[in-house]
Amino acid sequence: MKGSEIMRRRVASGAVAAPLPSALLCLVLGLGLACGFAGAARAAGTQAGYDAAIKAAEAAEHQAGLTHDQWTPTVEALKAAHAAAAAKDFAKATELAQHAEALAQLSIAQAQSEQTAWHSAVLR
Amino acid sequence: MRRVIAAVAALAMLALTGAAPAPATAGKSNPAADLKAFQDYFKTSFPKVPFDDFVNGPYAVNKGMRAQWEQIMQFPPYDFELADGKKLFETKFANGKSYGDCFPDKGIGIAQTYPHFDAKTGQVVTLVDAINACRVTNGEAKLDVSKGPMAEIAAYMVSTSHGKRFDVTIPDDPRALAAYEAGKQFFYSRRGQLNFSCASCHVQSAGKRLRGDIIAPALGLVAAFPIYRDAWGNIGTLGRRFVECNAQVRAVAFKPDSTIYHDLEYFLTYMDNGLPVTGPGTRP
Repeated sequence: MKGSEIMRRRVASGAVAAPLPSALLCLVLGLGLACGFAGAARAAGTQAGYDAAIKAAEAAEHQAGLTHDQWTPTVEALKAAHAAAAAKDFAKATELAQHAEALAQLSIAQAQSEQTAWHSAVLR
Repeated sequence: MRRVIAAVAALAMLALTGAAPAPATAGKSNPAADLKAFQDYFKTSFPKVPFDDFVNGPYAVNKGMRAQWEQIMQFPPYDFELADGKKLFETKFANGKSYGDCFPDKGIGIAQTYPHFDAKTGQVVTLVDAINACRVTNGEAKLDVSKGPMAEIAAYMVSTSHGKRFDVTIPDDPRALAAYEAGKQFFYSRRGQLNFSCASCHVQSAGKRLRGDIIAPALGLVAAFPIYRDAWGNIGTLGRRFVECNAQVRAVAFKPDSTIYHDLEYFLTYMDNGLPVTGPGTRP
């Protein structure tokens, strides 16, 4: 039995994952490269990129404050982002601001979920 | 086929009678029912712990910690601050009046009724609030509500209620019930990056280990405040502990005298109704 036939049978039996078709492989590689370039661009860092990131992060944190559920790591990430920007390290500052925004969004989601979820924990 | 018919019939009956299960959020606030369920849960969970012993927190549920605590209490670490609190309480203000003039029974043996709801202001009043209100009324500046002289004065006042049973009331006033419900919601709501509620530790993990500590059951949790904490190295108020707890789950804490912490104290102290006041206390 040829190697390709053995592989086909093993794939059919579920023993191994099917190899990616070449078009899909190209797409995955292409996306990977694109992400790599985007990461490189982000790593370069600009004042404008940081300004946009910190604005979004602070808006999200303000929203979290309205839900009375802010997280200390968000505050720390914002503080670190401001410090990095002050040191003109906009790549690091942007990354920290984006991290802060992600944390703030999670805290908002938690607060929204707990608006009803807490009832299930009440002793009855 | 019979199952399908039965299911359809059951649904039809529900629709006709309107007997659909009520959502968890439905219904009027019922603090008395909450109190019974709350206390029954801990009595069932810790059947060997006498009811009054819940005021001793982790020492009620762990023999090793209790043995250490009994040794510690040969010379309670809060004694000096308690003595200072008595002195401060008895010292007259510049206008010649004293703390005793602000409270019924001259402030002696009254701590078991705090917090209470003030119908005039529509606010929950904690003992710490009342002490500061007394100072302001008599032309003195407010004290820090977390530690220092405030914790010492509160510790002395609480000590004069030692053994009296908590008797916190929730009047049938929508504002009082709203405050109670807000405190209850806070107690059961998860917050912070660690996604913990007060109940995550003090209900679901009560009596279990958290690193070197034993987590105190929620029943009796506030009965020993103000407390001397080894971690603090001095005596502190319940507001101080709330701030610390929130920070520990990586949530931004509120001010120790914030409305939400007052509501939380209102809920938790009401849950301790019937237990003896045991403060000041000591904890790891």
